[in-house]
Amino acid sequence: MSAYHLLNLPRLLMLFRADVYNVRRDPIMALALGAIMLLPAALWYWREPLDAYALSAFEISGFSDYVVSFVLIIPSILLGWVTGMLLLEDRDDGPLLALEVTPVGRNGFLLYRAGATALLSFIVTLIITGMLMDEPLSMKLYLALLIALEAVMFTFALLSMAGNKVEGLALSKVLNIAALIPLAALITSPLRYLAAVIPSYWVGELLYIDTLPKVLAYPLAILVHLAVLICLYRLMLKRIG
Amino acid sequence: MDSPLISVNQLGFCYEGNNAKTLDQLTFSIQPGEVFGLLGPSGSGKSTTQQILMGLLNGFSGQASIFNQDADNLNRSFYERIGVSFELPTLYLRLTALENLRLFAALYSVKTLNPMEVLAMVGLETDADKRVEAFSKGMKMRLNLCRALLNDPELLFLDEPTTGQDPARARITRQLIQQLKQQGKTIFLTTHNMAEADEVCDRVGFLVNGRADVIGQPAELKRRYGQRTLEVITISENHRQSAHHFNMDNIGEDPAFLQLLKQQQVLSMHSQEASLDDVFIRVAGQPE
Repeated sequence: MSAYHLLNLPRLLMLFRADVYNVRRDPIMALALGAIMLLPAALWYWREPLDAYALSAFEISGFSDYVVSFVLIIPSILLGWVTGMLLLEDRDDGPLLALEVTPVGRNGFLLYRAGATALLSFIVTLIITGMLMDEPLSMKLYLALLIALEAVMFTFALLSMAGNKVEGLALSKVLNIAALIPLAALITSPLRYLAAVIPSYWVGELLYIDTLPKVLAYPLAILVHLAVLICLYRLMLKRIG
Repeated sequence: MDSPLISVNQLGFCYEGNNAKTLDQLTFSIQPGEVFGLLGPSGSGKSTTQQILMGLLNGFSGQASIFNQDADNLNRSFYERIGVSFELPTLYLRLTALENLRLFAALYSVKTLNPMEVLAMVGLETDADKRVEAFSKGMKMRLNLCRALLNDPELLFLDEPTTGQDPARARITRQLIQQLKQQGKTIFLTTHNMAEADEVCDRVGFLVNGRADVIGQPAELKRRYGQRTLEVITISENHRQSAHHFNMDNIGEDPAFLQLLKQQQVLSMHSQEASLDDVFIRVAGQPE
């Protein structure tokens, strides 16, 4: 691991700038990143009319509260998707091999990309929780942390399972289901815990129900996230050789 | 003589799932400042050898050391001292040539060369602001070479450096390799192009069946695998050409040769040493 070589601000900024150019010059990636705040902004702006409509049309009160988990996770999935697609390109076009014979190395570069994705996701999620939730700051920070890890998982999952960019696009449609998994926490039966092996379930567990004591739920959520992250990291390293 | 910069001794390697060994008791060394060419048929293990020496492949048998470090235990600072130009372009396609070089230059702690100057070395300075996706393969390969030179490395690994380049550009690249040698750089070259190896390499090794049993200076190998004869082509008054062959040992005292020079019009004379292509075919065999 070459984390030491990453501890250099100009180097990190240069890597980030190159990524910004790369994304900006690809219309699909630019659109995906440009749209990450669209859904949260729409929910924030039309929350009251949406709740009123859901109550009158379907007799569901507080409908927007159920949508929050989805709106929290989608932007980070988009961030993870963009990073994953960039890395798939790096693998297919060769820069990842070229990076491997530099002092930063492939692992150092993966660490930078994962770190940048997690940091951006953390900030974006924190902003969205500020817009849409009245929970205490500690809860918001915790959710932002979990979702930041999920963004990185999305990246690693793409690299672990997709052979190329086309497969990456197809796979991302399947992986997007993760955004709906928190709704499983609304199932009243204990069978809902079958979904607990999927990290995004814990966002719903923390948001919608309060059956597990926080002292248990918080570490469990982190544990599941880290376990899945490590598994995907190992799979990804195996896949990229 | 200095201690070798690269030392490979009884190196063996087998890819997972393969029965045959890719490398088998491969032994050679490269001195500082030397241009060494590893030649061989496709799939003979040239790139595998390079990858082991660059620390990208583990699980080999025997010994391989580089800068006196074991190849299976290289630290990251090792990569400050080497430059690698891969066989295929390995570039960010949506970035410009200059952006690519600036990005890679930022990854080194050592002082790097000015990217514009490096681009000028391969004639790409006017294309600095073009996106790489608009480059031809030859231009991408030249940019690959630029990236390998950025950190002013002591040792260069060049894998088919003139691939995709027209003859004039390929000549400029070969001249650049010779300039780098004059600057004291050590170069480990792999190529299929025998004329290129002949022109730029101090020594070459032929990798066949995972071994390099034939290693030497190109001129010496050409003599060893050629004939000690001189072919003289003459032309008669009725414009008929004839070929005559003379053993080169004591040729100055060969009465037949001297008489030929006196009595006939000589069109051309060629020593019958082998070309590196001939040596390659003799060593590697004809393809089946």
